[in-house]
Formats: sequence, structure tokens, C-alpha cells
Amino acid sequence: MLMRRLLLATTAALFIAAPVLAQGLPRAAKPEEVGLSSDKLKAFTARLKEGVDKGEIPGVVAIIVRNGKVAYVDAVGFRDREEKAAMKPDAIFRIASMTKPIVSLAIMMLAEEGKLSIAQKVSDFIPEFAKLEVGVEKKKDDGTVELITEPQRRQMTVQDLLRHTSGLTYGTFDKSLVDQEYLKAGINNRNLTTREFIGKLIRLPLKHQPGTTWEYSVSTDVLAWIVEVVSGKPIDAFVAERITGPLKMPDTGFWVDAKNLGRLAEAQKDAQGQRPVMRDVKAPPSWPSGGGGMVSTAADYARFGQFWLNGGQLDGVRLISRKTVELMTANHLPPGTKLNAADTANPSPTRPTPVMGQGFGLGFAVRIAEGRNPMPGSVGEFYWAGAYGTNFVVDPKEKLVVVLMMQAPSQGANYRILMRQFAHEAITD
Amino acid sequence: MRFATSLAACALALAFSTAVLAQGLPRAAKPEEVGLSTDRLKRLSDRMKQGVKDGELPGAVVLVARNGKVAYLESFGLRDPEAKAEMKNDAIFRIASMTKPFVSVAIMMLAEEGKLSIAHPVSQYLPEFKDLKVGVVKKKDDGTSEVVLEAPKRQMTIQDLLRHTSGLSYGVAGSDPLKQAYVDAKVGDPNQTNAEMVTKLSKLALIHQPGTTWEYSHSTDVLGAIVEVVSKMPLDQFIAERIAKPLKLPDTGFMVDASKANRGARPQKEGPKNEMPNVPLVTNNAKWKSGGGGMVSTAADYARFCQFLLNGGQLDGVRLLSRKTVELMTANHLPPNVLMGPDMWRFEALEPGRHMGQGFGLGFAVRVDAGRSPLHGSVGDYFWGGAYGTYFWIDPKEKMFVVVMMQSPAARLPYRYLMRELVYQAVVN
Repeated sequence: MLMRRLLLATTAALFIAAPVLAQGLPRAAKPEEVGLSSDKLKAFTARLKEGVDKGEIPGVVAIIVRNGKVAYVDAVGFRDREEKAAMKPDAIFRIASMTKPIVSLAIMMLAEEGKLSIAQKVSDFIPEFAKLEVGVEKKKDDGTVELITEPQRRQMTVQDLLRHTSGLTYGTFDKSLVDQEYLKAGINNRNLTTREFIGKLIRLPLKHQPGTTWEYSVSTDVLAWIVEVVSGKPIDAFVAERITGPLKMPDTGFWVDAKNLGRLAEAQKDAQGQRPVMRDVKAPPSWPSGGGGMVSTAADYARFGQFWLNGGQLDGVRLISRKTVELMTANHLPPGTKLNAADTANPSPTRPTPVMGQGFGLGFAVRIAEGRNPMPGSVGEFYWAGAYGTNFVVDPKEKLVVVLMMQAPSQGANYRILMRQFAHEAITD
Repeated sequence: MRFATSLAACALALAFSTAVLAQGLPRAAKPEEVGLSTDRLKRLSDRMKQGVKDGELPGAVVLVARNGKVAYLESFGLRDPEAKAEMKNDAIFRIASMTKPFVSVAIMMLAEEGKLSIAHPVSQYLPEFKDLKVGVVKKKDDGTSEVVLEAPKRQMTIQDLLRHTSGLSYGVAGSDPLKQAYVDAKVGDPNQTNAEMVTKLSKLALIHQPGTTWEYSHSTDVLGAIVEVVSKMPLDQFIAERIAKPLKLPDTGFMVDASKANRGARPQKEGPKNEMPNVPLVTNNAKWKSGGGGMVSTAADYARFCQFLLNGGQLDGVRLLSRKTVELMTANHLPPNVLMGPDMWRFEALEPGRHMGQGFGLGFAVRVDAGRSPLHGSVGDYFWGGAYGTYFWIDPKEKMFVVVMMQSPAARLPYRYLMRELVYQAVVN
């Protein structure tokens, strides 16, 4: 009985909400119109529902766009399981690192205006970065390890920040001595202002020589600071005025307006009765994090995906040229780029390594091989994900945009693979 | 009588107006005709004007052509800061190393006539090069270094010269005794003949084993000497009669006549010491016709040269090379295991190494990856620049080429990055 009510509520929500989805993105009459199978997409929905029913995830919104038309949209499960609030297509999600492509876009827009070149040294914008040293772990005679530093062999560039070869790190994903310094300095304290964050960062050693190693890092937070320095605008204002406003992504920003709080999706309680701690997005943050501070909806992010697929423009609004999209979505990792220790120890299909047939561009991972990767896809596809469970992929060969939004941090990796599987299986042409 | 006069006046006006534009290269009615945006090109103009205003460079001429038509041709700032003369489109510039593509074309023309093969050892044409040795700097126990001579493992070929893997160097005063030896021998003496230069080089040690390392060098000067030996005419005469005249490049050669002195572009004081850079006058008649850097040209002439290359070796019905030769020249000729010379990092984003997604062909750097370079471009684009500030690139995929003429050694790298960015952001199809 509850299941049927849920099913009815979901389907009703689907039909009612259709006009507000991906505002302006036309809707395919049926999936077959764009070479997708209705039956396979129903199976996708069934699997998502199964995930909700099994308690894996509280709820999810998924969208598939092909040839510029929305072919599939579904809202399954709960926006807030504990509040018994049904998931609706217009639910708002904390997108975490899916913020990074938006901030990377901001940098490239400034480059297109001639205001910066990504070939420039970061120290052109943050002079203290010229003197950063690189931490080296040295074994002492007594068997302990100490951290000494050596100078940068070549200066970090803006391109290094975009492709995560800056030598910076996060602090939270590894136990190296430099990572520990990051934690000691409280680098991820969300009560900092952006300026204070940069102030702490310039006192920390780099983890790697710039340009040598791919390590996921606070690089994009540094990019957000550069956007502020160059544009004279705070990052949230720049993004609102120059990106989400013109692209008509009204629910995408660095916090949720009070009037929209009833649409904010929440993670469910875990076995210990605790909700995972996620970013507080209920008020304007002191530090709008370019690395992970934004919220969005499936519809908004689908528009964003289509913007990329269109070569930098959407509905007559051009933000960047096709050539910039080409540059951003190419692999930028030089041959022989090392992978950080944590990822090397736990290889994952979504890590940018030649072994997985992937590289990294300017803000996205990019697929560079047909095979090697266990997930279906195409050479040239680009994607990223957020730690709270959201993910997206843009596939220029298949003219496909797929967005999956949920707040389920522990299930993100699983559902990333699932989404790829079901979306690609549905292709019939 | 009046009609004849007005007709003559029209013809004169027409001839005059087309004379200042890439003689014969048609002009697009507007940039949109060739997929470029007028509004976005304005960003380029604005940034150049700002650069002049801020004293970054004295002046420049920028030309962009696409689909065989000139879509943008603008002059900025001053042609001669001391004379306070405005920059005009027909200004004449010292193109330094943009001489190298002309001499490379000359070699390939002789190859097409069967007069040489680029597979042959250089010593076949310059017998003095038969006994060259490779110098290896070895540190002795007392801390001093000595130079030990090794036999080359294979002979240097003409292909090595074209792609700078010859083992030759440029002279650099300083701690490297092998490069200092070039300075001591006055290898770049403006009062020498090419034959005398060859004799000097034949007495110096190579700095790398031939074929192993990309090192920017006097290689193209040696090519110039080979052109003289094989064609039995001075290099400037060969270039004038066999290239500049047939391709209708009236302001291109090793100097221009005194009557053109008032079109010569001049540098301004620049750099940390606020000094006047040492750029020879365009009327300077140096005895040494340096194939590596001795020529002058204009934006219009070099544009015709670019269109000649883009057309696969012919222009306006005059064919100098076959399509297959141009294909060979503009492919990457660096073997996979080639090393970069230890100081070649000074080329920054223009370094023709795999880490920058680039390689080197027969006279040009070539782009081999869509990414890795921080600069916009296309796979297959090829380019080079001159130390006095000039730069060009040709993009066969986009059917586009760009010529940037300026005399400012200090501003050259940052402006090359800007030009790549500002031109490609204007591509809107």
C-alpha cells in the first residue's frame, strides 16, 4: 500500500514537474525518439527504487539528455527519509566537487577576456606561492621520518591548479606528513574566510613538485581565489552573474535561500543512527568553497552538461568558445605523470590513470581509451562527481548528458558505475 | 579624358589599398563570414590597446586569416617610439627565428629537385663536418670539470638539422664550457660568411650525440650554408629569387632598401634594466646572411607565406613544394625517447616536448595533443616565433593562421599566450 502510494506520488511528481525541469531543454516525446530504450530506462528506475527500498540510499533524481532533448527524468524515494518527504524532481542537492567544473569555467572565461593565461605562474596572482617549498619525507637514523623541504623545481601554474598537478593536497585522504600539516593548520575549517584559507595555505609545504603528480586537492579553491583577485568579484557573485544567471540555472549557488529549504535533500541516518555530516548550505558561507561549496538540481546541472555538449553555449547564450571547450576536455596529464599514493593503493575506475584509460583535463576527468575502463563510455567523454553522491557525465560521441543527484556519501561510487551502466545500456541506435 | 583619369585614380586607389593587405589574399567582408565573432575579436583589440597603454610593448600588427581570407588586421601603438611614429599595417619587422621556416622550405625545395636528401649526412655537403666529436663535461675529483671528446655514434643528418637534434647548440656565456666555446669562437659574428661559420663550427664539440636531444641551435644556420653550397648562390639570393619573388613577398628578405627605412618597426626600452633591446634596423645589411635569424618581413608577406603552407605548398598558382612535402614538414619528427636539452624549459609553453603536447617537425614546432599545452590550438597546428617578439601559427584543422608582428623580446612569451587565447575565443562556429 505504501509502495503503491509512493509509486503514484512519484509518477505524479514526474508529470507535474516536467515543465519546470531543465527549463528550456526540450523534452523528447519518448526515449526512442533519441535512440534510447524505454524498457531499459524503466529497468534503471526499478534498480534505483530497489536501492531506496533496500535502504542503500534515501532517494535520487536522475536525468538523461540525448541530442539536446530530455529523454528520461525520474525522482525516486525520499528527499528526506526520516521526515518521510518524497523526492521530487526539483530537489536541491549539495553537489560538493561538482562545483569544480563551474569554477574551472570561471577561470577560462577570464582567460578568454585576456585577463589571465593558464600558462601563468600562480605566483603572478598569489606572490607568496613563489616561495612555497616541497615537503620531502626523510628517514632518520633512528627510524623515524621527518619532513624536510626543497625548493620548487618549476613554479606552479594555473594549468596545474585546473588539472590537480599543483603539488597541493587535501589533507583528509592520506596520512602523509604534508597531509598531517594541512590538518594541523585546520585548512578545511569551513568557518574560515577565503582570504584566511589562502593565508594558511601559503604557510604549508607542497606535497609534490608542481607538474609531476596528480593528486586531488584544494587547487580549485585556489582557483576561486584567483577568480576573485582577477575579476574583483567574490566567487559566488561571479558565478551568479556570469554563469548560473545567464545559463538559467536558478537553483545553483553557494547556499539555499530560506524559501527553498523545503526542497533541500538530506542524507539518511546510518546504522548508528547518525546522519553523515555534510556541508551547511542554509546560509551564505564565510568561505564559498570553489572546490565543493555549491548546491544544484538535476535539471540545472543537466542544462550545464548540455552547455558543454553545445561547445560553450546554451539557448543563444555563449560563455566560452568551442576551442576552449576542446582545450578543457582534452587530457592534460603529461606522459609519466605520477598518481598519488592513496589512489595508487586503491585503484578506482574513476581515477585518471592510463591503466583506467583516463586522463584529466581542465576541471574534468576525461576518457582517453575505448577499453581499459570497466565502465561503458566513449573516448572523449568527461565527467566528475561529488563526495555526497552526485555525479554526471557528458559524452560528445553519443551526444549524451547524464546527471544523477543524491545525498548518500557512502554509495556514491556504486551509483556512479550503476548510472553509467544503465544509461549506456539504453542506447539502441 | 576625365573618365580615363577617374578610372586611373580608381585603379590606383584599389592597388594602393590592396597593397597594404596581404597582397592578393582576399579580405572577408566581416569576421562572421569565416566563423569568427566581431564582438569577441574586439577583446583582442582592447587587450592590445591596453598593453600599449600600460607600456608592455611599443606596438604590434596582428593578422588573422581563415578559409583563405584575412578576417582581422589591426595595428596598435607605435612603429617607432623615438620618432613617435604610429604603427601601420605595412610596418617591416626583424623576424629573427621566423627566418628558419623560409630556410627549411629552401632545403626541401632542393630536396624536391633531387639535389639533396634530408636523410643524408651533413658531411656529404659540408665535408668539414665529417670529423665532429661530441663533448662530454666530466667532473674531476678536485671539483673542476674537463671536456672529454667522444666519437659520435652516428653521423648528423640534414633531418637532424631541420628538427634541431643535430647535437649543435647556440652559444651561451656561462658555466657550460661547451656552450661558452661557441661564444669564444664568435659563431654568431655578423661579419662572417656562412662558409666561415661552418669552419668555426667544425672545430667545436657537439653538445649531444646526434639524434638524441632536442636543443635549439645554429642548425638552421648550417642549413643556410648547405643551401649556398648546393644551389651555388648566396642564401639571400636564393630566398629572394626562389621564394620571396615567386610568392610575391616584396618586403621579405635579409634587409630592405633605405627607401623603406620609414616603415621599420623599432623596440622600446624594456626589461628589469630598462634598456633598449639590440634589434638591428630593417635596413641593416649584415655580411652574414643567417639562415637561423637574419630576415625581415611584414604581417602581409608572412601571411602569404602561411597561406602558401596551408594550401599545401602553393599560392596563387605558384607551386614551390608538393603537398606531401608540406605534410612531411608539419608532422612531428621527434622520436619517442628524445630528450629535451637541459635549458629548453626556457621555451615555457612553446617547448616542443611531450609534456607540453608538442613536438618538432622540419622547421616548425607541431602540436601533437589536444591537451597538455596550456595554450589553445588544434592537433596538427604548427608554429614558431622570433626572439624579437614576432610569432605565427597555422591551424590546418580550423583552416586558420595568425601572424603577430612586434619588436619586444621581453613581452614575447606572455603575448604569445594572450594571442592564442584571444584569437581562439573568437572562433564561434
